Amino acid sequence: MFKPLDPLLHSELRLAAMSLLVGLKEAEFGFIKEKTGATAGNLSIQLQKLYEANYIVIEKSFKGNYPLTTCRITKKGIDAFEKYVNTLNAYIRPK
Amino acid sequence: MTTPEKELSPEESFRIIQTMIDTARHKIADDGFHLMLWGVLVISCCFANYFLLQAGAGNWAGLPWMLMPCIGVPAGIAYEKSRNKSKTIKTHADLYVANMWMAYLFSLVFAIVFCSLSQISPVPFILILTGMATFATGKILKFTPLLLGGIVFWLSAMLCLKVVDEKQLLIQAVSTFFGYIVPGILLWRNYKAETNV
Repeated sequence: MFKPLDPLLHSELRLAAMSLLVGLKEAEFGFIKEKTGATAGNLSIQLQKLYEANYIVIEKSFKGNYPLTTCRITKKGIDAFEKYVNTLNAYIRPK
Repeated sequence: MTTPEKELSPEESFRIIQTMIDTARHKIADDGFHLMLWGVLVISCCFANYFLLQAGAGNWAGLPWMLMPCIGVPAGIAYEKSRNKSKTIKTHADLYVANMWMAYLFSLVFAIVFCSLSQISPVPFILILTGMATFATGKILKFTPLLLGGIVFWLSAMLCLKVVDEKQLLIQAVSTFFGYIVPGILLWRNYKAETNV
C-alpha cells in the first residue's frame, strides 16, 4: 500500500520552489520566479501556502529603494521534502 | 487568480526536483575577488618586507604587514556590499567558506603572536594555515585550482625550512601567486562566464 504524497508538495510550482530552496541557504523571489518560469502572482500565492505550512520563511526587506522578498527553507520544510522524496521513491521502485 | 494545479506523475515530480536541484547546485558561490585582492596585497607586502630588510630597515621592515589590513579590509567590505546588491541567492557554500576563513584569521593571529614571542619566523606557519584554508575552500567549492593552491602552500612551508628567514618571504610571494592569484583569476573567469549566460 502506497503512502499518500504530501499534497502541499505534490504541485508543480510548489515542488519546484522547494527543490530550489533545499539546495540554497536563501533565494530572492526574483530568482525563484526566473528559474521556475512562473508568473509573479501565481508564485506569490504558492509561496504563501508553503509559508503558512511553516515549510519556508519569507522575509521582506529593502534593497536600495526597492522591496525585496527573500525565501528560506525551514527544518520542517526539509523534513517534509525528504519524506516526499522517500514516498515518491516507493511509487517508482515498489518493494 | 492561480493557475489550475496539474496532477503530477511520480516521474514528473522527480524530473522537477532533479532540474531545480541541478540549477541551484551549479551556482558558483565565489567570484575569486577576495583571493585576487589579498593575493596582490600579500605579494606586495612580501616584496616590500624583503627589500626593507635588504635596506637594513630592521624592526621597521614589517611595517607593510601592519598596513595591509588597512587596505584589504575596507576594500573587501566595500566590494561585498556592492556585490550583495546584485546577488539573488546565498548558497550554503557561501556560509561555510566565510566561517572557515574567519577561523583561519583567528588561527593566523595566534600563530603570529606565538612566533613573535618565540622569536621565530611566522612564514612557515602562515603558509601551513593558508594551505589548510585554501584547500578546504577548494573542497567546498569543488574547484581543483584551489586544491592545488593549498598543496603549493604546504610544499612551500616545507621549503621554508631549507632557507634563511628573509628568503622565506620570496617563497611566500611565489606560493601566494599560485595559491591565490591563479585560482582567483580562474574563479573570476568562471563566475563571469556563468553570470553572462
